Amino acid sequence: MDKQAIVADMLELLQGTLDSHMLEEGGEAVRATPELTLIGETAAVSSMALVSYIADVESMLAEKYDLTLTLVSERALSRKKSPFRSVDALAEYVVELVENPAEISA
Amino acid sequence: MEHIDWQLQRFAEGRERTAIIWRDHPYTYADLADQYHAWVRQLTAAGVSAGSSVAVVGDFSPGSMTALLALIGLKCIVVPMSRDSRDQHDQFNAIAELDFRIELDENDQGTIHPTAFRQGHPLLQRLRDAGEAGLVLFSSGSTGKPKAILHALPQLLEKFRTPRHSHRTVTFLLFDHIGGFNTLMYTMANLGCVVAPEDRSVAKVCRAIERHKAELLPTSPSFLNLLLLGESHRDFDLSSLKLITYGTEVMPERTLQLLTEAFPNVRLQQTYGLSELGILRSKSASNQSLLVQVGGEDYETKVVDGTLRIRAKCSMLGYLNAPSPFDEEGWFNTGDSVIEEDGYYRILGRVTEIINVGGQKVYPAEVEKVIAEIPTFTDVAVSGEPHLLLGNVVVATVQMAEPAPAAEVKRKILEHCRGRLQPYMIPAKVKVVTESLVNYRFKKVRR
Repeated sequence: MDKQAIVADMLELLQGTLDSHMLEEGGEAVRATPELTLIGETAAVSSMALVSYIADVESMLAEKYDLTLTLVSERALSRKKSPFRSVDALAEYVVELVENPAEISA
Repeated sequence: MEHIDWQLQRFAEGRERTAIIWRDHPYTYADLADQYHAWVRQLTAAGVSAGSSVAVVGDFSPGSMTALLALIGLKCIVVPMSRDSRDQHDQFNAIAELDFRIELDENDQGTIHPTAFRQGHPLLQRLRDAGEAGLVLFSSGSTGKPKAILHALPQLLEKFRTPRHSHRTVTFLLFDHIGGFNTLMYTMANLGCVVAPEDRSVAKVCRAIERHKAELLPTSPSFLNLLLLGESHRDFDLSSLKLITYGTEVMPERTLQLLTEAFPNVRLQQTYGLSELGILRSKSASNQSLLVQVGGEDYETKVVDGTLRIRAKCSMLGYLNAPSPFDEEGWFNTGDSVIEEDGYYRILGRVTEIINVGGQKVYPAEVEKVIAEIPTFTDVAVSGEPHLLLGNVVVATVQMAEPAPAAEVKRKILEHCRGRLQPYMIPAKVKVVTESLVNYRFKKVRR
């Protein structure tokens, strides 16, 4: 699993989302980085935009990497540290899903 | 024979008038009267009697129309079935507890097959005990199993005794649909002429209108969308049309707008009806308006919790395979979300189709209206998909003649919808398809 390649693709999608968001809300252009905060008070995107972005990522993973993953799941939401907090965290989560398909709940 | 004595009398009065044009050939009311009597003889000889549950499998034709009437005259329980719903017929046969099945072939010749599905359902027995004919219709079952609706025919046919104006009417609505049945009975009761198209494609329907100078087309918004899309109104001479009625689903505003432009001399009338309650008399506020008054003397309407409730004098006796949907005072919940405006109703859509995104209601038709403005899309259907974070998210399925990558299509939709729709209404997912989003009953399917 090439995490770097996935991060790069996710960032490209995120930049598109951020640019749209800027056009909607105004303000300065934001650059997509692996550590950019996507959730919480300081989130760079609205929750609706984040939902849409995650759907975009799922489509990209399916098309480009032949991975059919449901990113928004009980597994993801039950984490203390949300996998959606940044692109880096999300990419980590994708790698984890591929390497550990079934998580045994504690 | 008292159920339809008045109908037979009218047949006699209008002997020379054309009753139906089938396969481009006109048949008079005298022809129908002859076929009616032939059916009565044939059915009786086959053992059909009062209270028999009998299916007529076919489409609008001299044979099918007269078979229906003969069965009603014999006080049977009539079950019209169209060939389109063929794969559900096994289910239908059993639910309707058929004693006989009449199959009409391509040449309108009928064969009567005895069957043995009778179980003694109390509602069917009630009709038999009362010596009344009945009608069984199946709902399209878009949410799960189709429901079998049983009507007592004398009360359903009562309103057709009053003579009204007749039109040359296209039988677009299906043979086993309340709208189709209503159209047929109304047309015959008023010695009008039925124009049966070869099939229900836009081209064949337009050809039938042109060739036989049809005046009334009862249809659905989805069919009208297809007609406008192909600009068939330019290829055919549809100048005989006086009235287009539309119903069975929500009419998109854009379609109505295009329709008024394409048919400036045609009256456009929204209809409202349910298999459970019959077709209500309705009146649009104007040609271009989606506001409609529904009711008439046999109906009462009210809005409770944003949904339309109706109490009808001639509502169904009940479902054969589901519990009664009427409340203690006889009110029926239509499941349609409506708002009242100046004494009219605006029908927003099915309550079950409402997408709840994080507590906010989204009506598919509203989102479709905006997305439909994008010219490269042939059609769009909006639905909801469960989502752990928001409950549901909006999904748009777009039909394109030349499919583009979903990501690109989604971007286009996002750009277009920004500022026109609330963020929660904007599709989170987009699917691109090439096949039609409309089913065989010409209703848009929102998966």
